[in-house]
Amino acid sequence: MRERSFRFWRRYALELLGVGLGAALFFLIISALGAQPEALTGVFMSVPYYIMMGCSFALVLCCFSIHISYIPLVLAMGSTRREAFWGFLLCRTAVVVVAVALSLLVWAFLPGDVARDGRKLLPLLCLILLLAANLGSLMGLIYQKWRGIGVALLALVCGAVGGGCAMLVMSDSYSVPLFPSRIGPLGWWTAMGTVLWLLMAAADLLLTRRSLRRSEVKL
Amino acid sequence: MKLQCTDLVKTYGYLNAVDHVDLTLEQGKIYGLIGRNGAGKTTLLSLLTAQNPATSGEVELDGQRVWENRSALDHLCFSRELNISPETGLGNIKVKEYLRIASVYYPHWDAGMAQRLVALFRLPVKKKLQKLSKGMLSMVTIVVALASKAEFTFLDEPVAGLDVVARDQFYKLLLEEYSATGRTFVISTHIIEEAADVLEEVIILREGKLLMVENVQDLLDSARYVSGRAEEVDAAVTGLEIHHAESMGRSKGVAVLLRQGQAIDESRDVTVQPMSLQKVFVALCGEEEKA
Repeated sequence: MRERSFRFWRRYALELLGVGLGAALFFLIISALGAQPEALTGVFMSVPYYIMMGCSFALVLCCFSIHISYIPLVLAMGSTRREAFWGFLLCRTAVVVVAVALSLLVWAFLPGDVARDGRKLLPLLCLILLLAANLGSLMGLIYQKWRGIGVALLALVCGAVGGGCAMLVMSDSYSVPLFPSRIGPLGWWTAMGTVLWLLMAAADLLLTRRSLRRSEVKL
Repeated sequence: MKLQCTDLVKTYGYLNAVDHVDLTLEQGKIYGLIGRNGAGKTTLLSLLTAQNPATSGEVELDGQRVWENRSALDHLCFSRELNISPETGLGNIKVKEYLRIASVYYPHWDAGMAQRLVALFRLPVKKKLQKLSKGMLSMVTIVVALASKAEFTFLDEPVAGLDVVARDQFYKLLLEEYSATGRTFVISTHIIEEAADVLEEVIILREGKLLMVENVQDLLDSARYVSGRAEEVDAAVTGLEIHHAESMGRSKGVAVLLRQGQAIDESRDVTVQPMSLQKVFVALCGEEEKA
């Protein structure tokens, strides 16, 4: 990828990360405001969960809109389709890597059960982020072909994810740190998540490449 | 440097939007691309700049394929007409963000010129594209086209929605830039009369087919409108290339294109008038009334 294209996608990745971390901060503040004083430590030890929630949300929305707004725009500015494909991939991968690295950083320096459980959960959190990116991208592709279905899917997914996040954040300050113990066998979830991610990633990459090869710029 | 397309075809279902077009664009000229609505102008520009894939045919810049070729694309800029619709999501982008993205992608971007043009057109850079009027959107595309400094710059309806002062400013800027740099500009427009003064070559498309590529002055020199009594007109233009004949009672008017060595028989009782580019275009592309 040429330097100019890299500059564009790097900036977009930073903006996407900003949206994700902003949402995480919002979730954290809401949780902290609603928490009892003795539960505050647990809330702050759960920061990586909020990062995961915020970044998943940002990835779904931004990967959706990249297909609709940014890819046509960069093609109109003279980008090659190959550059757009790799830039898009680089952008979302960077967000996942930074979100996971931040989570690892938080949990690496914190003592206690929450951090220990959280470290074990990192592969699963990483999978959730990757799945969010694939889901957003696939919905964007569906929107290009069938506008109504794309909008309905986006509303459904955002409603479900947003509602889930809100319930988790608002309900009980003790809930989030207990998340690992509530989801059951971690290995099973990770294995299922990996299979699902591989399937969605394959579909996403193939369809994105195909769409890029055929797409026509309309601004 | 030259941009060339060979046997270029773009098909949508059964419609040939661009139909076997062969065209060579040379450096250092201002081309006007004219045609009726739906003639395939935007599609042709999109194909020439690799923004749309062709059904068949090739586009080459100095012998290098343009499609997916970064080094060739660096020399091209197609500043398309912005039609902001809610579905694209582009409307939420601010003018300064749009220009920033352009500055990232065009390798020879002239930031100083972009700033000067933004000030000249009084563009509200902090506004979102969806908040701009049609004329202001055209100004944004003009800023991108001129500041890109691309050797081959294509403008799709650059004066759409612009008031007469802004249109005049645009043509002046275009000529200044052309004189200073020798860049090639291809301008698609419906306002032919205004553009005629700045165009060097005219490319006429009709129903996806390339009807004509001609030097504007040569075309105007060869075009004549002959009118008078029908039998006198018919006699005066016998053997000439006749376009767009009109009859009104016993009177008749025809547009003729004279080839080298041809002349109208002016001994007949007819009136011979020169034609404007717009009249020539109407004669070539308008509905023909069979005499």
